[in-house]
Amino acid sequence: MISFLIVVISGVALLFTNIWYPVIVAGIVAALVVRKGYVISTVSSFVGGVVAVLPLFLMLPVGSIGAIMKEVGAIAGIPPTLLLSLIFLINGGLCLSGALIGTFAVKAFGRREQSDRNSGIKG
Amino acid sequence: MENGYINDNPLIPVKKREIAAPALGVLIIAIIIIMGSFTPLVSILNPTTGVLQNSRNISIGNESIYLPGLTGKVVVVQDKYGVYHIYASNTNDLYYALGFIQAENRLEEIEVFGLEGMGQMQKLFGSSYYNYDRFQTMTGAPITAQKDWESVVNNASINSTDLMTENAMQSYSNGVNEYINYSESHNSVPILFKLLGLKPFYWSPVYSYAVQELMTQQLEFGPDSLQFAILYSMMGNMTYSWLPTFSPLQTYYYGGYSGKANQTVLNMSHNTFPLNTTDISLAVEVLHQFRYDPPTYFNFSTSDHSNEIVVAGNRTSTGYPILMGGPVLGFSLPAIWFQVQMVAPGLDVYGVVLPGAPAVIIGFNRNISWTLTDTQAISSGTFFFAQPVNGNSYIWNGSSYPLVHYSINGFQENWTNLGPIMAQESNTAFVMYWVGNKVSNEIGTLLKINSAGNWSEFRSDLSTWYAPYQNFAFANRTTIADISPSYYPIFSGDAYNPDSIMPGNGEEYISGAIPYDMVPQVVNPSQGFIVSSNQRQVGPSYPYWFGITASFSDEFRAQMEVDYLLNHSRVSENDIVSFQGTNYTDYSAQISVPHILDYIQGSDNVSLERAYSLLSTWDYNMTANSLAASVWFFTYMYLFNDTFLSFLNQHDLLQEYNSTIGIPSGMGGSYPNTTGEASLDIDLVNAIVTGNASPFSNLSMKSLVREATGQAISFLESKYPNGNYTWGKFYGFTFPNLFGLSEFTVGPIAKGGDFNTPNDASGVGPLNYPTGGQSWEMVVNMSNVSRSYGIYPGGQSEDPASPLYSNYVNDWINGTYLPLLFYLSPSSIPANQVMDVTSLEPGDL
Repeated sequence: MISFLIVVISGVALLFTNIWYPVIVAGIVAALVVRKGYVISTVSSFVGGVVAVLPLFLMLPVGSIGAIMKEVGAIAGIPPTLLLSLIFLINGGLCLSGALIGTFAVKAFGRREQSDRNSGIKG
Repeated sequence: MENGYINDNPLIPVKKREIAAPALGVLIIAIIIIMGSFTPLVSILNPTTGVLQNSRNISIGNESIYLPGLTGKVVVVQDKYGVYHIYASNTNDLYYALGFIQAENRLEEIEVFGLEGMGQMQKLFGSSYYNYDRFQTMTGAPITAQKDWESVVNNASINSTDLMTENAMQSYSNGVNEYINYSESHNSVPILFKLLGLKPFYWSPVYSYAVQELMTQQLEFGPDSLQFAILYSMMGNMTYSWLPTFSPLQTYYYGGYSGKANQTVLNMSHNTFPLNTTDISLAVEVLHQFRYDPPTYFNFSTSDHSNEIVVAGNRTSTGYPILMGGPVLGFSLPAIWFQVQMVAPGLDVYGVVLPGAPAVIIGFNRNISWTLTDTQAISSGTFFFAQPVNGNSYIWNGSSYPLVHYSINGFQENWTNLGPIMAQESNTAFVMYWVGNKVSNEIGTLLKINSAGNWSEFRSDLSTWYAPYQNFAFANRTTIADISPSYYPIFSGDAYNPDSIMPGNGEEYISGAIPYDMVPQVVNPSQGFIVSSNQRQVGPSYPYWFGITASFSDEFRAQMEVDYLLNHSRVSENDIVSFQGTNYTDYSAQISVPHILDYIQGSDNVSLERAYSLLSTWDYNMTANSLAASVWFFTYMYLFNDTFLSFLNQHDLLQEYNSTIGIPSGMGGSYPNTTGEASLDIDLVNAIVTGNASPFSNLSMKSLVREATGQAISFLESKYPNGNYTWGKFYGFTFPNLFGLSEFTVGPIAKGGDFNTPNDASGVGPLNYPTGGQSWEMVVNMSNVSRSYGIYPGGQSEDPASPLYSNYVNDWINGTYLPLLFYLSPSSIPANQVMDVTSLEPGDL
């Protein structure tokens, strides 16, 4: 849950940089802070990433979003529901990627510490 | 494995397994980055900067916006019909606000319009527009647009119109550009730009003059002279019967001169300059440029018809004049027009503006109303000369002069003293004198008439109007008038036919223009009305050469309107609205069908009996549910083909005609992929009325009409064996999306009318639904301008997602006009008439 909340809050904040890719950092941060391994980290980051988009929708005139997506979908030849889904999936995917990287970093860092400790015992 | 770790023993390297997870993360990121690099998908789906943010653009609601370019508060009220009413404390703020509001609704359209005028379509749409940009540059329009603006700036200190224009244009441009800044800072740049991954370019007054040039091209630019020259090379003097100088049928000329033909003018028209094979091949080359390099966007119909009627107070139910306007242009969504009221000290104008130009083109203010139609003839303001050239020089009266070189839009262009060289072969250049290339300030003229208070001011303001050649109908509470102010060339030297190619060596030249007092005009005519609906304005005795009848419109529609007014001694604004919106009387049918009935009467042929039965009870109305309308239309079209195409075939000209000019069809080229010549429609109706088809056919009219009627019935019954071949099956309107997005095209929708009815459709159909028609229908009641009505087929927003994208279309189809709410202050607008209010205030974005 903590991981999820970190991703949602930092994800929303990072979206306001207007550049999408920084939301990767939300996943990384959550993974680094919570340190719960891949399963929890990736699931909570993905769901958190999806949820992080919702507040932005609420800041827009919701009634007009469907019409806009229908227009863009018609131009792009992509169903509007798929386009909408992609927004959530991409955001979730970016957070998830961050979580994978972050968890790896946690693990690598932990292994290094363990290795250092082991070296110390042996010495 | 414990605690989710892949490897519990850090001393044992299992690198492959360990890097799988981060590698997957990097892969996902890479896929998204690649998707974003090769498609606009990631950028348009970005929740904070992508298309989601555009939902703000189409939401309707009150708001306050702070803009650095304003000096005072501007209140913008959008009435319940979607029309913007802009109230400012000075005209600079007014035009600035107009630029901002128009860009907010139509930025894509404005920018495309400007690029099209400037010949820079490749900037937005890529190299597929190379030919268009090259041709547009070659016409001189972009160069002239720059010169127009330079002239305004240079003369602003000594000319009040130029000073007013400079201020208005600069303010308008600033308003447009402020919206670009605003939309970028609010991530609401129009969707087209987001999808193309482009940034809107900043507007400048030069682009507004390019719009002026573009409109002149749409209305006064064409290869009539080239066609005549090529025809003359095929047909010789027969051309004068094919395309007669004066119509044998027209009787009503609003500007008078209906007497005997002026012999000097007639001689000039019948004295075509002989051309050699080089000249003809150059003519064909340039004609092909006109035919095959047109723009895709804003490709207005080439046979734009328009209506204008003004009725004096002694013939109206209110005792005050009524003015009706109906300019026919190509349809698009968004439409070409944007409907506004603009109020500032000294100005309270209501009407429609073009994308990129701040003046109301057609409309009214509290004192006057006006509307425009295209004039007949005058070679579309485009004259061609075969001029000798030698290297970098041109020859004029035996002397050499250096060509003027221009480099613009990446193209090189050479001009002589007559205009741009459109084609050249060895030492012969085809030079185009196009009236649109005269440096002029029509936008300034329009800005002035927006605030004119009476006929005297209005007429005086129009004295600086050069092009396009337009008829301006006028009404105030005491006066009705019409004037066709323009730069109509007068020719000196050898008097060759100006409607063909002329010698360019100085033998014949344009020495000036018809004096303003002599251009067609009338004030308070005794019959109590004026009709100027593309018919020739002045009769055969007019002392100046004024073109021939070859142009785009026969006079039948105007004559029908005249008949209507003669038969209605007192009309109300509702009568005029009904007449314009839903009267589908075809005048050519009205005068032809009684003769056709005579020709087919007594036949024992079943098809002809069927046709006789339908036509004999017909009221000449091209209503959507009429069977007789279909019989008339196709009988006429078969008769046209049997007469003229057979003639071309018999003289072995059909193929040559087709490959150069294009195969003609009746009613202005109503069949798909054909061309229209109004003269041929006049010739044919004259043949039906007189019973004599010579010199085009040796057959009797009875024989020709019977054959055509049989063909028509046969065709209709083959299409609809159940006999339900109503006119609406063949005719209706389509409103195409401007950017070619068929998902956002509306139609086809069945509707009555044809080429000759007031609600006409510019020479297209059947089975080829018209995409042009009365683009702005307006009826102004001078007893109280607040009781005026109008409609255009479209909507105020260019965004297909907006409820205001095409909301006027059905009303237009049904002939339902909307009230034109005219209020002099925002506080006087009743709350129940308001959709939303935007407050524009000075401040930072």
